[in-house]
Amino acid sequence: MGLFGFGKSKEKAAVASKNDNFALSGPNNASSARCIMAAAVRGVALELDLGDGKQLEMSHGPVKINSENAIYTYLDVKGDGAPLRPKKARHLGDQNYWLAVANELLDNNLQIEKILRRMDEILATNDYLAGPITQADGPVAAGVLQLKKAGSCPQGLSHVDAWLSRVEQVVPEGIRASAMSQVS
Amino acid sequence: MDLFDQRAAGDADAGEYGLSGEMKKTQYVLQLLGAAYCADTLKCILVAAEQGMEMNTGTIDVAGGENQSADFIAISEFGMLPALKENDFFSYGVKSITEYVNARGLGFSLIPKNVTLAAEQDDCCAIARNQAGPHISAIVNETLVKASNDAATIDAAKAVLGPLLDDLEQRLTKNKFVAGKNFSLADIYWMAQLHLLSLTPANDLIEQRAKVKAWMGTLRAKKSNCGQALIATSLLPTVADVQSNTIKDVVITDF
Repeated sequence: MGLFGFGKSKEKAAVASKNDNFALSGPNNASSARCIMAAAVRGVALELDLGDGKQLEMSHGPVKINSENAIYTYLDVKGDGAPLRPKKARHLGDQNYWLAVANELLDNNLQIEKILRRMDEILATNDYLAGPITQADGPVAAGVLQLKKAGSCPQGLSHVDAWLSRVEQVVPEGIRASAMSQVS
Repeated sequence: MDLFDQRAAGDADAGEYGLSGEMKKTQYVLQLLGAAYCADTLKCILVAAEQGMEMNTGTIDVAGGENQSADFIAISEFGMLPALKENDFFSYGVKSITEYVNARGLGFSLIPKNVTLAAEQDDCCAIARNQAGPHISAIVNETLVKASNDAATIDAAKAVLGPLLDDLEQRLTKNKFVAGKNFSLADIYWMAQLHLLSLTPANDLIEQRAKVKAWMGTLRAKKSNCGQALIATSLLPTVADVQSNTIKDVVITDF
């Protein structure tokens, strides 16, 4: 295999048709909420089957996906409009950092106040967490909304609140009310 | 001078590039802090080696709680490990660092272009890190780091790992690499985890599975992804390295 990938084998993968619906089953928790919001910002309405003890799985025709990052990756390309995955390495690094902070720290109620205050500082000068909107904004917003719902979010985070509104406005109007009611 | 410059400094006397902020080969010095017994750290080193990115490494005493020290929090505000610095850019956590280095690197991307294959790869990475990872870490801790050799903990971890490695064996029966026909981040994620497991008495879990064992052999002989004269897996730690928490730098000699 050379520098430009010559010699790489081409592989066939399962392909969903345009008429196939997106469906998400999983636990009724922040993990599913992050996936719902990741779908919403890409203009995808998910058919939901949430409940205790269910394993996270998103299906789209013959395609089955079982982890959060894989769901974000898939929805980013299969959703409406240009993918949100950044081309710049720095933005990509920041995107994945904030996803990890949401999944590994906020989801476990660790360092909530410190993280949200830092986010507020960043969002005072940035419209979105990594600068431009990325795959991270939808899921992290869902994580913050879940904390608000649980009463675990500190007060006085005006820039975070403004960012939550911006992210909500990214969701197409036709699915916005439904998506936001599922995550907040 | 921050922990990066204390622990993973470049060698100014040897004229290492990027130390004064000038760029060469579009790359500043990459500085990584992690631990030899941390599979996430090893994944970052493997990606750098595969992509031809030089990397100075240093260790943090995670077992002793140094990742919660004021010095470490000064560079990684939420205490996330591993930690990477490239000039004025900082990044933390395995996905962030591996994908950043992959994007900056010289070889073809380790992430498939086809979105379904890319998602499948992400699934494989999640199984390696989130399902197998904690149990391999428990065995490494019990046998090499803390070395308390608690049989109940080791047996419980092995019981969980068995079915996961059966699934991996099935995948490698159908495909040359973990996520398909081509080498990808999924191979790096599994290799880092299984290399640590292979250093422990629980190596029988690998020995019992011919395809997994053969695939590890393939990766241990494979030239780096970017075509340089480096075998990435040669940088993985030995038992002594794990016990002394020592990790190797990524040094590229044939630009």
